[in-house]
Amino acid sequence: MVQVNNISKSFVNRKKKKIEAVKNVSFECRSGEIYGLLGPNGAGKTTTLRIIATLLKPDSGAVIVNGLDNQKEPDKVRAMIGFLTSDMKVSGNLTGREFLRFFGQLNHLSEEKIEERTRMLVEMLDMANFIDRAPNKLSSGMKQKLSIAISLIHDPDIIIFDEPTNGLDIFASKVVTDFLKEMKRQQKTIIISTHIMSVAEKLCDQLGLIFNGQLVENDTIENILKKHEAAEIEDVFFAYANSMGVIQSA
Amino acid sequence: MLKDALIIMGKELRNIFRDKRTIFSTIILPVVLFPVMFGIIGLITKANEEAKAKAEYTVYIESTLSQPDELTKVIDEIHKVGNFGIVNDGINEKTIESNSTAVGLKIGKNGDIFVATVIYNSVKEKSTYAAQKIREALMNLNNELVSAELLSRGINPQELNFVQVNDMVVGVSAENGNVEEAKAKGQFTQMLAALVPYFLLIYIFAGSMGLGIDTTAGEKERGSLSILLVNQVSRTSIALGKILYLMLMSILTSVLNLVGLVIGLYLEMSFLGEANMPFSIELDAIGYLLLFITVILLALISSGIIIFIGILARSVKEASGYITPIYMIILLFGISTMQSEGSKAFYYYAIPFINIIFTMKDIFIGTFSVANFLTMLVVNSALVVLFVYLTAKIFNSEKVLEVTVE
Repeated sequence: MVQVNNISKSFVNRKKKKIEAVKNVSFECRSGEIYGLLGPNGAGKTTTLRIIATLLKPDSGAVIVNGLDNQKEPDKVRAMIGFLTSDMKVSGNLTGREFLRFFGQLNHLSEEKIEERTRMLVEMLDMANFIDRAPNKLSSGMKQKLSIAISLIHDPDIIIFDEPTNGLDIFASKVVTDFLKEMKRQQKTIIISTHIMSVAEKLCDQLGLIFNGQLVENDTIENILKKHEAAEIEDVFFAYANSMGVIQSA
Repeated sequence: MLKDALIIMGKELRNIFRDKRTIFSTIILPVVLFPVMFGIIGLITKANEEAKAKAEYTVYIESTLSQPDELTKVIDEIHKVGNFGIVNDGINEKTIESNSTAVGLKIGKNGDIFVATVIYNSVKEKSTYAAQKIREALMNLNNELVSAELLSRGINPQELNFVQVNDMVVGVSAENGNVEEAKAKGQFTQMLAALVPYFLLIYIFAGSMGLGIDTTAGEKERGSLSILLVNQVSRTSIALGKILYLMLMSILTSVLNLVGLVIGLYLEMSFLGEANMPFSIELDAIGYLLLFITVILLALISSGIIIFIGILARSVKEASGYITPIYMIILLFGISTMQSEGSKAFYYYAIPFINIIFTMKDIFIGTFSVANFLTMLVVNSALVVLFVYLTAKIFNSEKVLEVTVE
């Protein structure tokens, strides 16, 4: 279970201007649930996920992962988390299998465990035909599958994926969403961010709408639609975008 | 921690040795480039020398010598030193200026002394060579005349030496105490002491730059660094692993460059007929061990600096911008230490980085001191630890994710 309690984070940009990326965000994701953070680019989704994954420290607030404060015990929390961020790109001359072995070793798995997990992930993500090829010879969909496998090699309880279907074609995207459903079935705690409404609607049990660093909605999709008397999440999303002055360039 | 660092190092090495371009530029090119380059220089120089020696030259003579046999003597000496045709009807400076195989000789007498002026075009190699040969011929004539004069006075020129100087060379060994061999070895050692530390410094730093930037700022740009950071491996292990990888690669490239350089120099000397230069080093096993330690330290510090800067920078371009001035400073340091000999004051050995160069020189020329070596070892080891610590700090900070919000 992941509890995000009132976290805030600001940065200073190159013009020395303070930017509040995340403002008092709170939500909770239980085991066997998928929580989706839906928001436009620059809304604070990635920053929130990076804070949960211990890559960034919040200015205030706390994140509790399976009862552990992720700032006080980051190493233990990392062992429980599988994190995939949209700017992660596997590259280099090692094969996919060698990458999985490398990250398995870094997660202190035994050789037997690495082989077992590799076999399992290759099957689940349909990677058999490219697992022994180097990333520079893979399509973006194949690379994404490999990145997912790398992030989950240590069989973590908590899965945090930032824009997992970003840039993927419809087939690769389906493999990823099906995989996440299977992870949910295995009682994993899953938090994803996306700006694709259909992905959020299909996958998520709980949804957090985030604009300008603020979580403006945090409920089940059904409740959000009922509250706004809307037919689709897209209607709610654009209503907030208009009211909060978020202008998206075409 | 070390186990994780070695895993990271191993992965980086496997990755780099799968890249054909890197294998070519790091391993094959240094070993092939210098021998080919110096070989070609040697061949061209040799061909040039042979062409100069084989060329037919014309000496335009303007003589005011009253005795015909005096001019004959001069011409005879000229014929002895090279392939010269003689034109004895005055000198046209325009002809000498435009014709590279032409040279002029104005010769006359002031009392008993021959007075000669050699006219040549100093811009042209062959003309300069011909002038040098004419001078040689005239000096031979001078020696003959001196000998004849001495003999006419009943003096044997061979008996005119009142001081005999012999050399005894210490510091290098030669077979059966052969002084010439010892001198040559000494010269070679001096050359090594001047060149090897300098080239090692340059190659180790230059060899690490590209790879170091790629494994830090390059990984940031490609987004592959964040994959490492969300794993259970400690940041210190990541820093150490990358530094160790870079250290090994920089040692490998610098050794291969040096091997290529030595083969290249040997080839060049062979082509120029100077292959009798002894390619041997007067070092015992301990000397080699000490040299090895200094090379490791040099590579560790270079790698530490480059990894630290690379991880601090937000992009490859920014990292290159930071490292290039440091490389220039190191080049200057290297050049400034090239000519200086060992046995510096003690405080020189407390200056990190540069003290490694002084210590290498000491090892080569046999002025090694345990106190200086230990000072160098402690100072540089501390610096390596500092760079690992600082790099780990950067890895631990949010800067490593180069968060920039516009």
